[in-house]
Amino acid sequence: MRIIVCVKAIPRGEGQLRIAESGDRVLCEGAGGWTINESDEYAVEQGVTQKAPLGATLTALTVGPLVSQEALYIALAKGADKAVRIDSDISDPQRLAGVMARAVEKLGYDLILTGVESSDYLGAQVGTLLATRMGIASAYAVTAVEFSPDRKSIRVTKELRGGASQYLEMGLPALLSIQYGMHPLSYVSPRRLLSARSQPQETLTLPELGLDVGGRPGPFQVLEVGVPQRVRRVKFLEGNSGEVTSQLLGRIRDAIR
Amino acid sequence: MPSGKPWSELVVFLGYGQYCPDGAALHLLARCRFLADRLGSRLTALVLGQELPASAVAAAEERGADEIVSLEAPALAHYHAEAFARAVGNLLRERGPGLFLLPNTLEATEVAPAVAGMLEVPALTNCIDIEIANGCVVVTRPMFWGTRHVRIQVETGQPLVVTVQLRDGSPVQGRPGNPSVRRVQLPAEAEPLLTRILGGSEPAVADIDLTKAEVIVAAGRGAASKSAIKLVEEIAELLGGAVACSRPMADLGWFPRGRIVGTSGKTVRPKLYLACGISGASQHLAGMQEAQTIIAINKDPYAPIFEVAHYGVVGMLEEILPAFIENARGIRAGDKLP
Ligand SMILES: Cc1cc2nc3c(=O)[nH]c(=O)nc-3n(C[C@H](O)[C@H](O)[C@H](O)COP(=O)(O)OP(=O)(O)OC[C@H]3O[C@@H](n4cnc5c(N)ncnc54)[C@H](O)[C@@H]3O)c2cc1C
Repeated sequence: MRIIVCVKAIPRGEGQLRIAESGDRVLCEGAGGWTINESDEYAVEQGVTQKAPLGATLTALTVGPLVSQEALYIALAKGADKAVRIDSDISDPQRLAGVMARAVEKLGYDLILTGVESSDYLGAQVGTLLATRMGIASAYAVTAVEFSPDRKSIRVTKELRGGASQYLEMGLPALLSIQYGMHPLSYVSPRRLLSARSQPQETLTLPELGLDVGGRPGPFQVLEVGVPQRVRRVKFLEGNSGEVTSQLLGRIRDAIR
Repeated sequence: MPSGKPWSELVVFLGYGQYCPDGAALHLLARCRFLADRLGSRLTALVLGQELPASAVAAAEERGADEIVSLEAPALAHYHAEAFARAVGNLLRERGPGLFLLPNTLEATEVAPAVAGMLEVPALTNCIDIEIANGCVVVTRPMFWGTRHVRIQVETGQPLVVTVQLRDGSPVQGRPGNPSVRRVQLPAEAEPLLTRILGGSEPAVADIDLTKAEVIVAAGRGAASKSAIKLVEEIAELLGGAVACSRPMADLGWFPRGRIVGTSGKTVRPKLYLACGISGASQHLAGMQEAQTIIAINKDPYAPIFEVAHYGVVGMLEEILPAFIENARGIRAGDKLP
């Protein structure tokens, strides 16, 4: 059984972001500033949990520039057997899914795990796009997985709106987007992370995957990136602690009167 | 009028089965009437299910759809991502290049990329606004935990899938219309589906009914400690309100799941929603942005919760909440303040 878990490296926090002078891009500043996307960490956790009882191998896959290794290190430290990075800075979801499709075909797989969204782009598209492109079954916001005795199919619990659940059956290969909180996250000690850093990683380029580097941009154009415009023009309550408290009391009284 | 050729139509997903018309779709449909008028495009309301509910027809009439398309099959009565995507994808393929919009529900988060993947068209998901600015169609979407927004200009006439959860309070009513109704009985699937639905379950019964609470004090990850939660609970008690939480707080075991507000929890409209240490992810805002008064306390002035809040306090919960409690003893809904 071969499991691939797709991970992405993102900036560690909002404080490191800077809007480029061109105004249409966000830059991340500061060394050591990248980490694994939170949602993908749950997917890795699921892969690691599943691996032993199935006797499976777990490969962590990322598409991104060199800094993306940070996500792979964490996956390795958590128990992935192998790490592969596709060197590319593509961010368009459709093209990304195209690149990942080639990569997973090359690696071979029975099950692909992804997170539900990346905290940077917040698009929640790539997992489902990849499955659609591969023509394999998929489920989004998965909260439980059970393998059939012959390991040819799985039963999946997925989330619906309002906290309802749905039970699905699908044959393998399949792709599951693992919901936040499916497993508690395990702690990665600095020591394990350090040893993961010395494990070999495979790097592939787009030409090595038989893909050309260019590509058609989507029919849209970024006008600007900025801090949020506030719909309601929030009124901030300011002053010393006593002033803030009395304003807060006043607003609350008005609200619940 | 924006340059470029217009889309032949804007297709708005109005809902399916028991969620039709979907509350989240009404606002979007009204906005799309406005856009369609300016773009010179038709407006179509799309319904999936076993039958076409009269309430969906009424909702489409009130908001001025030109046409209602109802795709009907027993398999569409309940959510099935794959069947939904196939039905919608086939319809859009047949109708030619348009703009397909869905309210940003949990189900749409799965169906939108599935449709986009099937048709090989781009998708802009998790948008919070769609407007016409300087003669162009522009969408706004959050990035980086919602602390940044990106505005994207869209070329009209090119097929595109968009999911939107409008964040402004523009009216839900559009101008009324007299839509033609097209009901399509879909034949049984020609190609077998890859996934089979075995069943489902409703959310576990909650210990309290948040939807009935007039005052809600909600704890987010900024309040993920025994001491902070105690403060939140104390304030809720002082105000005669209920305690709710963001999803991670339930995942972490601090609260039962019935206390979650948002896409995977409850949708609430209390008189007061006091958000403590909640960043305001789209999935959380979806459940509380219609509260009458929203007050947020957060240490980060750019936290997206402040986009929907009426009043905000920027600071540490550990400082603000105790000072507040000190002063507020005795305040309750209806009571006089000291
Ligand atoms: C399919 C799907 C469904 C989802 N459904 C839901 C849902 O129903 N409900 C929901 O809530 N989420 C839902 N989520 C998760 C959502 O995307 C966010 O991850 C979540 O809402 C974040 O919760 P939070 O605001 O508590 O935590 P965070 O995003 O970590 O925010 C914590 C906030 O607290 C502030 N803070 C920290 N410390 C302090 C302090 N000492 N004093 C003051 N402020 C402080 C920080 O500035 C930050 O803004 C869903 C996600 C997916 C993918």
